[in-house]
Amino acid sequence: MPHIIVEQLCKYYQVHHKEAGLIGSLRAFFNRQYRDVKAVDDVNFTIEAGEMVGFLGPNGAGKTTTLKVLSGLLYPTRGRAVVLGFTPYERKRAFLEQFTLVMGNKNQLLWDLPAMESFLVNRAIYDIPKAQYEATFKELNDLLDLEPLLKKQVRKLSLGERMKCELAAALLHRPKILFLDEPTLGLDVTMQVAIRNFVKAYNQRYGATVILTSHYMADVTELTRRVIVIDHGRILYDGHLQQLVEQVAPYKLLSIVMRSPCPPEILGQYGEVEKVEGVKATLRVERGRASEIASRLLTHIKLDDVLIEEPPVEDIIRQVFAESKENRESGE
Amino acid sequence: MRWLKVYPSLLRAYFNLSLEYRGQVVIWILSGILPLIMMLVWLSLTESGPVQGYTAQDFISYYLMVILMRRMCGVWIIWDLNRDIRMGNLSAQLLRPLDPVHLHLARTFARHPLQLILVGPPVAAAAFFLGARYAMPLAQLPLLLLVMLGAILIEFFVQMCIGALAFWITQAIAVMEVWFYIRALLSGWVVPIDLFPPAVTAALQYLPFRYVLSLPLEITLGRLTLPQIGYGLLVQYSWALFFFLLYRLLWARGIREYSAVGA
Repeated sequence: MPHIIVEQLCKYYQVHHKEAGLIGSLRAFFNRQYRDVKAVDDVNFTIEAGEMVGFLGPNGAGKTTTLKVLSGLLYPTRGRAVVLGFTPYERKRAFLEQFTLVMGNKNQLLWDLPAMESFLVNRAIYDIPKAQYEATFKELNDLLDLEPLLKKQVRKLSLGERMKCELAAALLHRPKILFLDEPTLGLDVTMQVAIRNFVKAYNQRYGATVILTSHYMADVTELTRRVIVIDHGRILYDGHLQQLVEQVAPYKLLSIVMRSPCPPEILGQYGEVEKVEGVKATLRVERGRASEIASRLLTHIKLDDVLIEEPPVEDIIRQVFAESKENRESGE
Repeated sequence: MRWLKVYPSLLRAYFNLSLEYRGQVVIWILSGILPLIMMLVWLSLTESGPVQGYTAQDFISYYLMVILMRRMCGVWIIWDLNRDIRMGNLSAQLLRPLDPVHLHLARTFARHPLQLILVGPPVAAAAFFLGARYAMPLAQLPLLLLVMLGAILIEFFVQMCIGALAFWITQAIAVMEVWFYIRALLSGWVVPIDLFPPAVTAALQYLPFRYVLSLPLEITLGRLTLPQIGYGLLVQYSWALFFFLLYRLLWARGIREYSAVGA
């Protein structure tokens, strides 16, 4: 049975409109104008046990709202979500014990106390048997190197150190499902990699299901094969990242380093010239013919190096969003 | 009842937290000197003889105990609660299998030991040197503790109710101010309630204010008989139950609101 089932899920917010300034405030006070905002609009997907899925989308696309519905913080306006066989918003204890939601921009630890205190409180709240707690703690400590952080007050930790503790505190009860909302927000590259490796290891060790949202494409490309692309509350794409790349970008990039500079007109015979800088050039070529063109280049032009690359995922995603915007605008 | 198992951990963590804030606690205690000022006012009035039966010694005994009881029956959760709701910390609490009320209740009780350590000795010393007199028979001590618990529960659930207003309005703290001032006036904090006009004093027997401070004071001063304490307990716990039920209702509605509009 899938771990997560989402059917025709809609979440609309009523927001009231207020113009700036005193007059605007007064007008809003006496005559409130409400407007529906469709944060999530007819979304469907299922996620199997042990799967890692990345949610991609710009700010306000509906990623966090979806995660909040799945974790029971929000009622759906329409449609349904089923997680581990539970209806999330009922917030049954058996459900709450089996998942965790980590939000990169929220602190869930006791701010003025060392993180260890939060761990012990969570141990009591989740009623974790001592032996299991100690085993889990040891594993988390091995993966995240927590020991030096535990005696410092949370407020004195760096952002990255705090995120390690947040993750550990959220995983002490060994949840089967992890909702990670921007877990690497604001972290430096080393720390991003550490968190990423940890999530991967946790997924492998416990077979946990993971949904991840992130602005850092590397988080998604490193961790997940399947992505769900959301914009304006609707799913634009759900499937393998690789297929999305092939679908949106039917080309690959050939990066070449030549012995001596070659005029762009000649390079243009092989593919669309993206850029030429002295002896370095990048060509855009048809996906299926990339290796053939590369070998032709090698025989006709003296090359030092040639590299066949996928276009950057960022560009592809940007293209998907741009197309969706165009479609919306032409539809209106 | 499995939440009971959580209390040792919560109390320990929150006690450590109260130690973390000890400087702040001292400042709070020092800022609560209004009862001492009131004591001086009454003392100057008693120079020409007792006021409505209160001698200078009675006022000293009364106000010293006000200071101690205010610390021991006080509840300070409204700011935390308000912030949790408005800033969205409540979301994290709702994700864990424990009703957030236990966090606030544990935090409330975890504060009292430090308050007692800080306020108890100076009040005891002052009581000794100023000749305060507390005529409570020792046998009433268990009842006193029960009454103090009742006082905490009323104030706690009142604050939970007012805090829950933050689900709908942004100015729940302003409502709290109203409760603070009315309670300060009518609970015996500023003026012993039997110095009010008889009609007011009589009405206060049925309102909640007497039961958050004055009732335990009256017991320590040895003014109440066992039947009177029993009757007081009945009224007091009825109010505690009332505010508990009101809090449950408001909270359930509020959570529904919170889950509808998000945080």
